[in-house]
Amino acid sequence: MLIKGCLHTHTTCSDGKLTPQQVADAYEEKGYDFIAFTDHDYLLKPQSIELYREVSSGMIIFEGVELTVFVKGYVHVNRIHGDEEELYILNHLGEYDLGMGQVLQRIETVAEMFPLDAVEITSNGFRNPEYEIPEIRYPKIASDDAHTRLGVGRAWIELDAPRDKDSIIKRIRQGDFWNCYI
Amino acid sequence: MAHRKKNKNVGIIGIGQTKYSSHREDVNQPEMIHEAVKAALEDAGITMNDIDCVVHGNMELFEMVHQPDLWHVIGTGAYGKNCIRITTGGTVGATIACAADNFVASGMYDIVMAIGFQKLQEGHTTGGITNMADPLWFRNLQTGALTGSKAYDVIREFGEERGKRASLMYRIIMDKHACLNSLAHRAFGLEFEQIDELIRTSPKLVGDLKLIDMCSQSDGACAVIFAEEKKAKKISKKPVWIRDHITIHREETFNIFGYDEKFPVQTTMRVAAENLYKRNGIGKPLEYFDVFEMYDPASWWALDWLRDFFLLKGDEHLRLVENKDIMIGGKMPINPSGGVIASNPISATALIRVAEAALQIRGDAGKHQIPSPVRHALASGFGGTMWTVLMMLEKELNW
Repeated sequence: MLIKGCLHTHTTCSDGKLTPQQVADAYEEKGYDFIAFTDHDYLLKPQSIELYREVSSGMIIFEGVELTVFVKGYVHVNRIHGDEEELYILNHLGEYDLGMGQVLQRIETVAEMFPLDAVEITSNGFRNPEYEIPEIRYPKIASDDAHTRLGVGRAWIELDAPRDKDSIIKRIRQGDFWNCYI
Repeated sequence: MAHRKKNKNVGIIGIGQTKYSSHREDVNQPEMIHEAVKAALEDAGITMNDIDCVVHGNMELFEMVHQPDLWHVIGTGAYGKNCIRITTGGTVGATIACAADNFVASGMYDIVMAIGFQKLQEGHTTGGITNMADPLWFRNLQTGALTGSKAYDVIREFGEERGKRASLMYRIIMDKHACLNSLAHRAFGLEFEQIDELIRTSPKLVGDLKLIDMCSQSDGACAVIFAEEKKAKKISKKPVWIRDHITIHREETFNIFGYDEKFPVQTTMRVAAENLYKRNGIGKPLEYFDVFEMYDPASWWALDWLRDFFLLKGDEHLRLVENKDIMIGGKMPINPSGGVIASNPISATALIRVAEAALQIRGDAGKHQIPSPVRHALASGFGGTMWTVLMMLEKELNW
């Protein structure tokens, strides 16, 4: 089954402008099958998990968090929970203002800290083709990193997988998906 | 222009702002500026035909575009008009307000529009700041606004716990104000109960300056129209009068690092405040002013600067914050708009302070209007090599 999703979105549980329900509705209207709420760890409202779970949607909703990790400056790592599996993605490589050599170093350092599964090669949903290189040995994933309604639906992944969280995570880990952009 | 030597009195007759956001990808630079210009003209009830001169302000190296005033004409409406571009760092917005006021006050023009804008997501602000500092100044100046020195100073004077809690208290009050302002960029919905958690979890930037303490970079534009007295009264039902303004920039930049306790340098904030109040006969600024839109790039600086701007002593400034006197409805509301911490399109930022102070006097600030009458307002700008601009706005032309 071909399904469509985004694994990086923000809500009012941190610095997003839409509530979790509004975010889910915005993606569902665009035909998504799954999304992940990945609000910033340091701004996370105490009741966030409850708010995520109150969302009514026909989509699969992953719960996640965007971790702020110090590696010679701050980088962001998404931790996304499946039923049994966990997915770790190093986010928006293009937003750290680093040269390619430094980016490769950061990836390796983060990989020593977390079981890194993928890297995000979009900045707010815009493609950064310079990171589509074999030297980055991790699956390269496109996401919105949407904070507003305008940011919803710019970039997504499609994959052939059963509609369950762990299957989706396993496919992503294997790099078995397509990046898509508007 | 020297105080009390204005050829003409000057009133603000039109105010326009865009939505402030980290990414205004829905518009290009001229389109974004046009939003503010159109809003200001509509607010004043005039057209571009009535504008004699446009003062355009931005930090062109932040977008890395040369002479933006020329190719922004389609958005500013300045084609065929007298136009001047001003760049003075974070202070730009305040400097263009001063310039527009001076142009009108001198009698050179009757109606002048000041436009401040920044579209930071299209450039590289850090790169711009770094390069503009090098090679003339010391390398350690190149963090630009990202310095933890104020946090260090406050903690040294008042202790770690009190300093950090007061800084976060200020930050959360600004956030509560920003939540009332539909144009604000950052509005998190923070609660006072989160102070301890935020002190613990917010990522450090430099020293004790944390991410939550610091302003973001925003996209946005602001336009303010200034008119000479007769036209201001004819055009606007409630013009806001510019009583006076002062600009102070000194050599303290070169002393801020390697600070010497034995030879403290008086800040440009205090020098500006002392001189401005003295020449206007204001003995108790905290009692005189009804609202203050302060250029507050970080909560630590804001906390410290309250003392200088209001000529306070000891810990009076901390108590203002701790007692929530700076909240809307409090004794001295600071930044009902949410301030710079909430929205920082750099070269518009200080003009926004003037615009928001004027809106408060007019009673047109919407949900973030303070509940008591506003007759006397203060607006500040800050940036560059420790520039401070302080502007007084009045409801009545009676001084």
